[in-house]
Amino acid sequence: MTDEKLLEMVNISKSFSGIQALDNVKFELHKGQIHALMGANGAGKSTLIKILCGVYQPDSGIFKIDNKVSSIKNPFEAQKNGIAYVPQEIAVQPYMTVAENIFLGKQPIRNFKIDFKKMSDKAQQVLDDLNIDVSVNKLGINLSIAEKQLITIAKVISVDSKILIFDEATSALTLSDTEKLFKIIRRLKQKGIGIIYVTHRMEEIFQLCDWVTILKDGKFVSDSAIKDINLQQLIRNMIGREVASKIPQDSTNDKRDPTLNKDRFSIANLCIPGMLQDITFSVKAGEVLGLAGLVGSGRTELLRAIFGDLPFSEGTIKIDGRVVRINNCSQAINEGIALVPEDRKTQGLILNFSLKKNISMTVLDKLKRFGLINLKSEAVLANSSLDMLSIKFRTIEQPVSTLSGGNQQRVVLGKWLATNPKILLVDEPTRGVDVSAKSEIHNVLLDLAKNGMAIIVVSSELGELLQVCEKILVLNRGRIVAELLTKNTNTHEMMELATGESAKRESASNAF
Amino acid sequence: MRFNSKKLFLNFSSRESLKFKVIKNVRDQISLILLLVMIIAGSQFSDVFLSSKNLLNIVWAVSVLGIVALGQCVLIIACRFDMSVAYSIGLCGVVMVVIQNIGMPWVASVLVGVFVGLLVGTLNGLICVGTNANPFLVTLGTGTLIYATSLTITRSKTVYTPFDAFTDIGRGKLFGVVHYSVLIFIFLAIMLELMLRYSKFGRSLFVIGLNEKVGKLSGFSVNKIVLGAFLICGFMVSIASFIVTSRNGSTVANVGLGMEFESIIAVVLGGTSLFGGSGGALRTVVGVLVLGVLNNLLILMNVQTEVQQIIKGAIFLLIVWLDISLRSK
Amino acid sequence: MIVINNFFGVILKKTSVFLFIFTIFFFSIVLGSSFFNQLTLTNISRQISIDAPIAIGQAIVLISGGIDISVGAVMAMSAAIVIGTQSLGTVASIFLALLFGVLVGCINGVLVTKGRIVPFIATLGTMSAVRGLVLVYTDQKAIMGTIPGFEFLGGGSVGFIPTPFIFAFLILVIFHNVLTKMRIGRNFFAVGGDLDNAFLAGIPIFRSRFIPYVISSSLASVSGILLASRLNSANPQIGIDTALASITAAIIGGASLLGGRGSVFGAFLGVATLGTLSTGMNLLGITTYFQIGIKSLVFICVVVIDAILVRRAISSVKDSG
Repeated sequence: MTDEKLLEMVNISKSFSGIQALDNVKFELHKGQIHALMGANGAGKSTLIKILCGVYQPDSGIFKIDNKVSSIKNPFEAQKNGIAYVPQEIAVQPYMTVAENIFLGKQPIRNFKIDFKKMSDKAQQVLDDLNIDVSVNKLGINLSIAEKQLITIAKVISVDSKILIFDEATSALTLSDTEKLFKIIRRLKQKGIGIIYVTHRMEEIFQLCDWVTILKDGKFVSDSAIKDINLQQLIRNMIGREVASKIPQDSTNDKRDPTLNKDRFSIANLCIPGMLQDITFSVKAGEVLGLAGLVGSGRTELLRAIFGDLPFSEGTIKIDGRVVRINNCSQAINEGIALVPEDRKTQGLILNFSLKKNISMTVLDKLKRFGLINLKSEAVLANSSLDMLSIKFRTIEQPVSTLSGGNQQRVVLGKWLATNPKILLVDEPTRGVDVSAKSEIHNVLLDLAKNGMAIIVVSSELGELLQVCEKILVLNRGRIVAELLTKNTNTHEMMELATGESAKRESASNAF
Repeated sequence: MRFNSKKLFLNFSSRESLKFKVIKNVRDQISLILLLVMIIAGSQFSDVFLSSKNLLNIVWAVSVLGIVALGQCVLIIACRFDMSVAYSIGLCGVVMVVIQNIGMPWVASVLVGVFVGLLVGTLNGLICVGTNANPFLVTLGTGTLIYATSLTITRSKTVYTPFDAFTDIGRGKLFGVVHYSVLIFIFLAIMLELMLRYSKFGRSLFVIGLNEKVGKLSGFSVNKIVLGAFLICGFMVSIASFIVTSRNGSTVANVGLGMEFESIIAVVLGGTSLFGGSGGALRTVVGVLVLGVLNNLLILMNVQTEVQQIIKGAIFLLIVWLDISLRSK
Repeated sequence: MIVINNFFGVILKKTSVFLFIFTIFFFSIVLGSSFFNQLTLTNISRQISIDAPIAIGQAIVLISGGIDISVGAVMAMSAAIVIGTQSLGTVASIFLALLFGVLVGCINGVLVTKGRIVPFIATLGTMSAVRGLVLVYTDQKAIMGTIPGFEFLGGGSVGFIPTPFIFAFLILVIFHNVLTKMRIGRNFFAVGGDLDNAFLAGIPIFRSRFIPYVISSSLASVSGILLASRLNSANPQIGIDTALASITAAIIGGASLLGGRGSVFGAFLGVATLGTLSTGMNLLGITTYFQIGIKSLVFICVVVIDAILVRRAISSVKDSG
C-alpha cells in the first residue's frame, strides 16, 4: 500500500431541505487501500458515496482526485474520473442480455455500429475472470437476485477504474460468492486501485479491509487502520456509547406459562414448487422461532405464504389446533397473524401518510362509530402505540417519511400490534436500522413473547437470531435442513447448514 | 416493559417547517386562489359577469360535468382513470330515452339508465382488475366500444323523450330558486366527501392510490376497492346523463364529447394529484367551478370554440406541471 | 438480436408475424379473389405505408417508456399545413409541415422530461391543443390542394410499388438499424427498461427520453404529408383514431406499455395486420360503427394481453430470491 492519496474529500457538507446529511466530512483514500466506510443509518455514508458518484453535488467542500481538484456533476463524469460504483439497489436492464448489461452505454463499436460479437466475447471474458457462472445471453429479467448482483459487480469491474465503491455488495450473495468477491477485491488492491467498502457486516470489515472511516450523524468521527481498532471501539465510535455486544438471553423460556405449552401455530407439508418444499414446524405461544438461511432459501416466501400473500396448493396450517385456510392477507389478519414485511418503505408504510394514519390502517373497522371512522379514537390509538414503542416524533400528523429508519420500523410494528395478533411474523426486523434502535427492537420482540405472542423471525444476521430466538430453523434451497436450539449452536454451524457446504471460515470476530 | 422515555425529535429547523407549511397550504388552496383570481379578472372584462343570473348560470351549466368529475375524482385518488365517461354518458341517456319511447314510464327508465352506468363501471372495473392492464387505455377502448354501441342504437340521430315530466328535474328549480341539478350536484359532492374522509372505503382509496402493495399487505382487498371506485364513477356518469338528457329533452351519442378530458382537468384544477393518494370531492367542486368560470369568460369575450380548446389544453398542462413541481418540494 | 428465453417472450415476439399471416389467410379464405387481387393488395400496402411511420414512431416512444397520444392530431395538422401553404411551393410546404412535427415533438419531450409530467397526460394536453389548432386553421372544413403532381408522393406508384411504401420502407430500415445496432437506440431501451440503472450507467437520460418524442411527432408529420398527398386535401377529421391504432400496432409488434421492449419491424407488421383487417372488413360490408367497435375490441385485447403476459413474465422472476 503506497502513501499516494487517490482521493481526498475535505469539508464536504450537504443538506436536503434543512436536514444536514453531511457536515464538514473528510475522507481520504489511498492507492491500493481497501477502505471501509461505516456508520449507523442516517450517518451519511450513502450521501457521501452519491456525491462521489455524481448523483448529488456537495453544498461546500473540495475534493481532489489524484491531488487535482475536481467536481463531478453526473455519473458520466464520475466514470470519466475513474470512479465506479456497485450500488446497493440491485437492478439490471430486464430486456437486455447479460453481455449488454455489462457494457451498457459502452458497447464496443465497429463501423458506427455495435459489435455484438465482440461485446459477447468480452463479456464472457469478464465473467470467466471473475468465476461467475452465468450465460452471457440470458435476459436480465430471467436472472436471480444473486446473479443480478454478480452481474452488477462484473459490470463495474470490467471498466478500468481508479476508485471502486462497493455498497452492501454482498447482501444477496452466498458465502462462496462472497469469498470470490473478496479474492477479486484483493487482486484489485494489488493493482493499486482504491476501494471503498460500505457494509453493516462487521466480520467482513475485519476480514477484508485495511482502513475504516466512521461517520455519525453526518459528521466525521474517526478513521484508523483496522489493525489498530477493535469491535468495541468501532461500535462505540458509531453510536457514541457502550453497548453490550450481546444482549443476554432472557430467561423467558423458564418464565413462560407452562399451560401455554400447546402449539399456537403449526404448519405441515407446505409446498410451493420452485420455492419451498415440505415445510413442517410449529411454534408455541410465547416462543420466538428464528428462520435462518441465505437469500433465496425461501424464508421470505414462507412468511408470505403464511400471511396469505403467496398462494400455495399443498400444506396445512393450524392455529391453536384448528385447521385454517388462508387465501389472502385479510383472512390472515382475521386469524390473528401479522406480518412486518422485509421492506418497510415499499411494503410496510405509506410514506406520505401521517403516523396516525399508518398505525390505524390495519384496524379501521375497530375504530368505527356509526359506520364512520372516529378520528378521536384513531388519535388515541396512534398516541398509545407510539408511546408504547417509544418512537421519537413531533406530532402524530407528521408524515412517516420524516422519521429515521429505526423509528419507521417501530411504526410498522405498532401498526401490526394494534391488531392484537397471536402470531407475529417479522422479516428482517432491523435491516437498515442503527445499532441502538436495533437493540430496542429486539427488546420489544422479547417482551411481546413474554406476554404470550408466538413470533417467527427471519433475519440475515445470524447473530441477531441467536440473540432473540430460542429455536432456529435453517432453510436451504426451500427445505428445512436443521432445527437448532440457540443455546447449543453458533453462527458457524448455522452458516454451514445454510450453505449446505462444510465451509470453515476463520472469522476475526463474531457478529454482534 | 423496559422502554426508553419518549423524546421529542425535531426534523426540520423551525424556519424550514414554516416554508414547508406555506407550500403545502398554497398547493391545497391553489384552486380556490385560481377561482378568486378568475372571478376578479372576469369582473374587469365584462359587466355581465358578476350578475347573479350569470353566476348561477355558471353553476348550473357546470353541474353535469361536475358530477362526472366527482366520479373521476374517486378513481384518480385510487390512481386510476376512466376515459370512457364521454361515451357512457351518451349511452345511459340513449338507453333511457329509447326505452321511454317503447313505452316504459320515465322513472323506471331512469333506473335502467343508472343500471347501464353501473354496468359500464363493472365492465371497466373487471377488465382493469382482472388483467392489471393500464386503465387509461382499457377505458379508452371500452369507451370507443360504447360509442359504437350508442351510434348503432341511435343511428347517429338525436333521440327525443316523449315525456314532459321527464324534463322537470333537468330544467326545474326547487321553490323556483335553486336548480334541482345544482342541488343534486352539491348533495353528491358532500356525500362523496364524507365517504372519502370518514369511511374505511374512502381511506382505502387513498392507500391504494399511494401504494397498492402496502394496501394489500395491510389487509385491504385491492380488487374490490378498485371495482367499487369504477362503480361509483359509473353511477355518477349515469346521474349526470340523466340530468343532461332531462335538461335537453333529448340526447345524442356524442353528447359527452370531450368530457373525459374536461373531467380530468376539473379534478386536477381542484388540487387532486394525478399520482393518486390526495384530493377530495369538495376540491373537485372548486375545480369544476374554475372551469365553469373559465368557459363563461371565454364565451363572454367571444373567443371561438376552437381557440377555447387550445387555451384549455394549455391551462391543463400548466396545472399539471404545477402539481408536479409543487409536489417535489 | 434480443434473445428472449422466457416462454411468454417468445409468444410476444412472434405475435406480429403470426397475426399478420393469420389475417391474410382468413380474409383470403372468406373472400377469395375479391380480396387476394393486385388492386386490393396495392391499396392495402398504400394504406399501410401511410400508417406505418406513425406506428414506428409510437413503438420508439413506448420502448423508451413513454407514450404519445398526440400523433393523430399532429398528423392532421401537418396534413393541413402542407396543403394550406401550397402557395409557397411544394418543398416549402413540406418543410413547414415537418417543422411543425418537430416542434410539437420538442414540446412533448420537454413536458415529459423537464416538466416531469406523466407522458399520457402531457401528450393528451398537446393533442387537445393541436386539435384546436387544426380546427382554427382549417376553419372546420376540408381544404383542397391545388398543385398537381403533389399527389405523387402519397398516391403514385413506382412500377407496382406505391410511392409511400418506399418512404415507409426506408424509415423502417433506418430506425431498425438505429434501435438495434446503435448505442443511441439501445439507450432508448435502457431508459425504458430500468431508468435508475441507465442513469447510473452514465447514459444521457434527458436525451434518451426526449428524442423519441421528436421522432414520433416527426414521423406523424410524415404520415400526414403522405396522406394529404394521397387525398390531395386535408380535413379536421384526419387521424382521430390513429393514436389508438398506432399503439395497437406497436404492442402487436412487441412493445409494452411498461417500456424497455419492442420492435420497429414488429410495429410495421402490426400496421400491416390492422390494415388488412380494415380492408377485409370493408370488403365484407361491415358498417363503420361495427368497424369502430371491432377496432376498439382489438385495442382492448392487445392492451390486456400486454398487461397479462408481460406482468406475468416479470413477476415470475420477482418472486424468486
